[in-house]
Amino acid sequence: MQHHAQARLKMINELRGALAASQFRIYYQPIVELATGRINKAEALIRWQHPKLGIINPVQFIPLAEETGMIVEIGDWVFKESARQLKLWRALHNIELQISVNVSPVQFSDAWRPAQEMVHVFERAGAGRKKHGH
Amino acid sequence: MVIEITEGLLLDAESGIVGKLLEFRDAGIQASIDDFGTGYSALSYLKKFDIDFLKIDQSFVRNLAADFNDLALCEAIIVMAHKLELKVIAEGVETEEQRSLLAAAGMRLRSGVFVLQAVACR
Repeated sequence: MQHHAQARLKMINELRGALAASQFRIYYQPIVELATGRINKAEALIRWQHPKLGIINPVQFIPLAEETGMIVEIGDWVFKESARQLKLWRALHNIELQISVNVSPVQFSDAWRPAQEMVHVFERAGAGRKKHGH
Repeated sequence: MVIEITEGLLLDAESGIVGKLLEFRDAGIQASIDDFGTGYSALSYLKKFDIDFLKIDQSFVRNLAADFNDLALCEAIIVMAHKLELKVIAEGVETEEQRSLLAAAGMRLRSGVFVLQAVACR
């Protein structure tokens, strides 16, 4: 029991430094049109590239990030990074592409000024739909 | 961009959530319901909130070929969603049989099996 609590604390501490140490990665899972096989959408999935433990799946660290409130910062980063990637892929490959990101209920809590921050990020990244005439 | 949220969020929704979703909408960001059909759902949220996509949870898709009930649920979700002008995405489609059953039921989108990592090109 004590061992479990210690491991948990250790992970929380390491999680605190993970963003600054650029240890998070985003993988993109394509969403495919059944009839044509075309890919116009993708879902952004976060992984934690831990220096000692290797790749950690979100089920293992997102609950801790939610409990500690770190999810707000991590979620903002995922959104920002995905918007940047979307802008690049739209320019290079597919103007229609959409990327979806998971947003935790904790990010919707009262204190969060969601949209302003995220929306500004989104607009700065130039990934708004309006700009492409939709 | 699209934000994926869960049914639970909409269920305890105070008016604040509506405002936050509208802010996203105004910025051209759409909303998708993740793991649809597995949470405590009250379908009334589908008319109360401006939702663009439903993602059918992979637990319904996994036994599609063997379990008639799962197929019936998928078909019903697809019909309902399309009537409400929502797009539907099937999660966890792994076999050709699942793909063709879903296509016959009117499904147009599925999430892929493989993931891609963006290559840094700075």
